[in-house]
Amino acid sequence: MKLTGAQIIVETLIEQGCDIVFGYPGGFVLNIYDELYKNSNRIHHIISAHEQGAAHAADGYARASGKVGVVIATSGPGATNLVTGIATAYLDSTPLVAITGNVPLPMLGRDSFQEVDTMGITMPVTKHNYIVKDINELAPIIREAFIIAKSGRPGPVLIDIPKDIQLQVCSYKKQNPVKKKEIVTPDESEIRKNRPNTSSAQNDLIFTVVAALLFQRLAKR
Amino acid sequence: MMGLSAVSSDTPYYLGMTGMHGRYASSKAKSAADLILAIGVRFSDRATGNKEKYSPNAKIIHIDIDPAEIDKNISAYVGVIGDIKEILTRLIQKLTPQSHSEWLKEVEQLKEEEKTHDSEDGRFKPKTIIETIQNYTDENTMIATDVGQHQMWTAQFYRFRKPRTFMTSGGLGTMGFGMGAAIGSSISKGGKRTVLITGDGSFGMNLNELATAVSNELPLVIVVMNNGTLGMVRQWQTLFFDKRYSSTTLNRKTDFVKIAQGFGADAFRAETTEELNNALVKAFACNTPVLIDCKVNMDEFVLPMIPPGGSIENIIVR
Repeated sequence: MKLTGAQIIVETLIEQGCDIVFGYPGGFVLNIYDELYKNSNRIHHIISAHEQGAAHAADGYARASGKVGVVIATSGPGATNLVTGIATAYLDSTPLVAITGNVPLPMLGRDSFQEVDTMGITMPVTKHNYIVKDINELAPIIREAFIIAKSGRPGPVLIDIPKDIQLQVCSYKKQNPVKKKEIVTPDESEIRKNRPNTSSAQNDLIFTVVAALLFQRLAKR
Repeated sequence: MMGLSAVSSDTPYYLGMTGMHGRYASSKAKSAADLILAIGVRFSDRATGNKEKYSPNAKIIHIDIDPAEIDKNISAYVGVIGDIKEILTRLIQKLTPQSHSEWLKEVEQLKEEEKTHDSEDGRFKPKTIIETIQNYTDENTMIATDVGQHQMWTAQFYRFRKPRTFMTSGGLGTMGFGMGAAIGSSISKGGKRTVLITGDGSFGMNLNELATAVSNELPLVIVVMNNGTLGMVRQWQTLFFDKRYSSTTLNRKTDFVKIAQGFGADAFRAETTEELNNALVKAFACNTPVLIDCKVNMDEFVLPMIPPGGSIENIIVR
């Protein structure tokens, strides 16, 4: 089916298992909020007093539940108000997806109203971040953001979405969420050793060595 | 600190938090160990103190999902990269149970020593406040904190039993984290009981989120450990800046009870253990936000403390 960017955002969030999102509306996320309103029976939005509170709430939600916390904010001051919350999640490795609006693509870089370089500002405090410049990339980016947020060492991922992308239309097809990217199976885990005479060995042997070390150490006591 | 609640406090030989404000027995045992199994640990400076003097006799087996952590801060004897659950499950199968009665006797001795550090002078103490709150919670109650002395007292004295019940900003140490975190964690469990332990400084940063808690009718109990000061910074100024209390004494006339009521929540004051108990009874009987303004002495210290750059030899216990 053909959907607008704003509709795709809401559908993909629901697809990823979100039933609650936190945030604060604003001019450059009006269309997203319109879709949240129309879908309030499927996804519930909690407004806070300040975007920082919303970010911390999404973080607390993730810590308590183990799910990815989602926070939505508008461009400019909305996005900058998220930064402390995102950095908090970054340093404690909490899975978060932050969605921010931004000015339309042709207005980027012109000191437009409520415009900041959200990607630039959040790059050092996110596990990864994106700005969506092509409507066809929107759903794949959101899906990938969720995988990155919860895989391996979890962390916050930010997706910046210019307003015109939210209004453009493209086809959307629902996909089931990918399970956490499995980091290792037992045969693939990597072991680094600082002892001098290290011979390369099968992982199973290395496990035995580690176990023997433990045995030895503990037995000495 | 970030490991708290991963293992129940009721586990035999559980020693609690280690690090700058770690429990005495925990820090001493860690320094005396000859083998440390570091599981999902990142050896932050708050946990290690002086890295050169960190557990000098210990071989460290460092298990973490992030390869960047191995040998980042502390040199590992063996680094194992992968998912903790998988690795531990496999490791356990290859080990036979050991007994270490001598070592465990040493540990018990440390715990006895630890008990002698508590001073009872009849004041309404932070430890008492935390332990009193614990009488009203169960293993599923979520505890959120802000950042500062109240956070350390919670980490030291609250006995967590289940994972995912402790929401605290450890890495960034964000004052103002508490209200949002309490709201989010309560909502994640369909509106479950959450206690926020906070300070007057931290709470002042994001108390506007009382509005959010009230409009969502969340069963939040907010205990403000109110000492009229930025306690943790004051403690450092006492210890390292000759008591030059620069901008830490908050000359405010803030009435947190009126503020909470102004947001539509119930609120009580507590200056004694009895008053705190009365307030907690009412708070836990209520399913909407309740604030308790607890008066704490501004010169309470978080102890033990290993000063920055220090090691176990520098531990201050009184």
